[in-house]
Amino acid sequence: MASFIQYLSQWRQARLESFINKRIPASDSHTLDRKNIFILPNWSGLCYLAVCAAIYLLATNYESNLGLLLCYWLLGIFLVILYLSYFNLAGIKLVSSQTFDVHVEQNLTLQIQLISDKDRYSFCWQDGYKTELKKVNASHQFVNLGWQAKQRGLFRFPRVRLYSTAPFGLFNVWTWLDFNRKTYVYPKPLTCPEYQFGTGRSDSEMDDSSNDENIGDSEFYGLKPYQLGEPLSRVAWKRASYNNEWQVKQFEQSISDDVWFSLAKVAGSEIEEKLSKLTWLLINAQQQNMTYGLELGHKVLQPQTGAAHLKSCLLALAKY
Amino acid sequence: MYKQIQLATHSEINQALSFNTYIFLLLASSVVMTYQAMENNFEAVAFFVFCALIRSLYWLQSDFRLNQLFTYLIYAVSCFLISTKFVSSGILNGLFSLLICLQALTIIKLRHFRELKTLVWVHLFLTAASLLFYLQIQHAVLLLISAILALACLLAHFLAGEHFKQVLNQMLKLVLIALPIGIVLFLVMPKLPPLWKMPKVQSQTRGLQDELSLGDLAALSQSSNLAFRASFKDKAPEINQLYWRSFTLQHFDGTTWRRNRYMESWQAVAEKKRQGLKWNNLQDTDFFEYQIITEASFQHWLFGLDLATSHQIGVLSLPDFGLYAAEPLTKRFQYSAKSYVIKNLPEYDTVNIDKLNLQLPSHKNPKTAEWVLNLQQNSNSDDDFINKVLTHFNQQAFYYSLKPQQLTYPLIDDFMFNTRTGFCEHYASAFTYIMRLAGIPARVVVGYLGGEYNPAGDYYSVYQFDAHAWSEIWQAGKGWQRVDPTLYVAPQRIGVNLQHAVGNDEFLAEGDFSLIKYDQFVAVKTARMLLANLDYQWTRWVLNYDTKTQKNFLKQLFGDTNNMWQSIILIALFFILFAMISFFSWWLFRAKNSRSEIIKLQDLALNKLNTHYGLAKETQQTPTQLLAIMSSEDTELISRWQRISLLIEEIRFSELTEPAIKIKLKQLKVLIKNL
Repeated sequence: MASFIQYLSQWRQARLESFINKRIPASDSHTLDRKNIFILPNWSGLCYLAVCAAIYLLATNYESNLGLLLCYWLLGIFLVILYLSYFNLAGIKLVSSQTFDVHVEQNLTLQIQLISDKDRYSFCWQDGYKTELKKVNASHQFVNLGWQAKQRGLFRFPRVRLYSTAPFGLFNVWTWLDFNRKTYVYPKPLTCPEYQFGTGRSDSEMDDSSNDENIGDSEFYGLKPYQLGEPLSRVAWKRASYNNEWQVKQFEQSISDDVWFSLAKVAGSEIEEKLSKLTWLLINAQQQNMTYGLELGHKVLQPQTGAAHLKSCLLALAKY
Repeated sequence: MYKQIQLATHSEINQALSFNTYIFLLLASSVVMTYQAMENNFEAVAFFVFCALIRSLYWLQSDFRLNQLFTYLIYAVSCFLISTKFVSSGILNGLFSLLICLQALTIIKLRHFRELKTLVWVHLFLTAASLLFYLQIQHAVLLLISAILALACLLAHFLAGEHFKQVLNQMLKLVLIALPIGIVLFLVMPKLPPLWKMPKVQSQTRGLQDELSLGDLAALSQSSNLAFRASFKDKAPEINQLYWRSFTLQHFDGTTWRRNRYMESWQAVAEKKRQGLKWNNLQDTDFFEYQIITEASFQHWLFGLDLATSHQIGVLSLPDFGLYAAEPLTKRFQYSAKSYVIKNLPEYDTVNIDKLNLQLPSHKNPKTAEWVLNLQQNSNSDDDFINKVLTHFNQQAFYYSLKPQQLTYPLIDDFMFNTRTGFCEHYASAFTYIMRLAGIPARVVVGYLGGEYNPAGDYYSVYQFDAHAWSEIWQAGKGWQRVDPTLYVAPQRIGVNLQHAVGNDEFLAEGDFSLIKYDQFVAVKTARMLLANLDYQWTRWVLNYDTKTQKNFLKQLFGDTNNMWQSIILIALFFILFAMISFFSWWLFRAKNSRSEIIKLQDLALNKLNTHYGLAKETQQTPTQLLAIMSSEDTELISRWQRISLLIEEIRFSELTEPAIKIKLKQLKVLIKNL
């Protein structure tokens, strides 16, 4: 039985969703009119009607014409308030203007431009933060809607419910708007300084040692004492085996030149953790003006530098 | 996402109430609470004022919390007030008391929009309740204003930060659009009879009381309140014939005249069984037809000229020729009556005449008795005796006064031979007593005399100071005849009016302020008559608009068509009304400030630029940024567009006064036209 009810509510929701999608198709900009505005009296509106009914009963039973007049006049006001509530939303143009890419757990922002020809009141948005505008001025104005980014990957901005009860609180006037915007959510950066000079490529044709030797096609120029946090792959094992002194191989230009970050080489228990580490590494590399490449399984991004490169790398991580 | 159709909005609940909201609420409440205080709910209103004061004091302190003990105390006080009211003044006043206490308890805790709404809903109901008692146009207007202010509270909450003038402006527009809807619904909606029996509206009786002591009417004559209004259908009698009979008094105990048991039994039948007397064989005499609108007297007495009959339901005839309402008059009551001009009124119950109308008090008036005996011996007939008595009143030094001296026992003796100064009831009492001593059946009739003609409305207003008492005697073969002894003392009272009879100094000397006193100024009199006529038409068309009037009105409007056509026309009318309301709401609340105009002009300019020059604006670009994409050769266009975009930005973003903006808008329009 319970599952049947659940099924029923799911079915209803699916129907509602398809109805809304058909009625208010996704678009960059919306102009609110009778096609996309819904309006119903809320509890306060029903209370108002109940008071009218009570006044009607009082007036009828005491045969008070003034009471009846008051009752009918209040009903007239109710009707006009219906129009006013509708006009409070109708006619405004909403244009989605900008989105920004973010990391997991950051705020996804959808900037919307409100183009209104008159003052409007109490715009409540059911976005992630229940954004509210007490007044929309007769001009162009921007509002930032926000959601919490929970998951890595493509984020489609959901249909957002915009509603208002102004100017009397008797009617709920609302609409569901889909601005047809999407953005990517990058993994959350996870600090991992041990790979900050690259992980090396996980090229199957080269074995580890040769890889070490040839890292970044740079020349080996000396050794220095090992410090905690430095990649183990650069420890000169051959020397360590006979004098028990760990030393790290140093390469000429190795830092400024091509650094490789590879998913396969990053230590981590989970894939998300590894991706997070890579995110931090990439951002860090860009900050240090390195030239870096990214290897994600079969996908390889050749070493480059610049904000655009970082963005495409992060995008690759988000999509992975 | 779709499941989030929450009905209450977070903003409404959390937002603090604005100062405007609170002021509107206090103004609205003060009106209704004043009316409620006047209508027997003084204690509850005092409690409300106390709570509102506390709330106002704490208004300055944003984080105010009521002391728990204090809250309990307040609850206890309100419970006490409500229960005592229920016990002492019945269910209806108890209910109003309850609502007022509810308002008080809500206002003291008023913090959020939710409480504000509760206050407004109850306020609207209390307004309707006050309208039950106060029907005059000025009260109705005041109460409607208070309802408007209450609704303005809600608007002010959403328009927090706007000037209160703007809130009132919007509210006024809204109210005006809604008014025709209210009026049309009122005119055409079928009126239902009372659905169930409600507890009676109770109040002190006003106007004539059903017992008369010497001096009572003189006291009533200090009041300039309206008693009733009468409009005649075709012709009206002479003003000195307007003896508006209300009831007769037959039992005299030496001090006070009262109804007797016999008449009281007729009243009981009229109230319980709604049965009265039917007067037959009156068709062939002259008659007057008229309509009367009484004020709320909370009594049963109606008014009519002799001999009054009425076919109206609830209006009954009693054997003493009076009209009697089956229900007490708790509000203005309208009835039509037809009076047959008969000089000698027939007695319905001839058997009891002597028993009822020759009764004398045990308390003797020896001087009067002796005087009557002497006079009777010198008279050759009853008629001669009556004439001699009236001549005595006329020729001896009797005075007509609103301020008669206090009489000492025996009252009639003191009046006849000592003070000789009295109001109409003194003369009527003395004359009736004398008649009874002489063996002529007589009784006192109480009612009103005359009235003020209002030419604009073609009706007579009869005020409380027109109250009058006269005598009625019965003679075999002649029936009941009216004798007004006052006529022989102060002829001006009957011929003109009271003001003339007693002089301006004495007239309404002790009563409340009244414009009638200043009738010697023409402007005052004209204004007073205009207001009176307004109130009369209000009563006729609004207060007494009943099913019958409604039927006639609809008949006049649509002709005598069959029901189907009538309903079709009505439905069409509703649709037209609906369309008009939609249009007016849109028109009155459309954007029309200069800032919205600039946006339209900007769109117009951009459109022109696009169609004439093929330059389209991107979403994020401002008009000024468009200069960058214009080809450098077209200097003419660039300079024009520069001026246009400069003006647009000036109007939109600089703080200009409204007139300055208007001038700039004009310039801009010309520039765009020439683009």
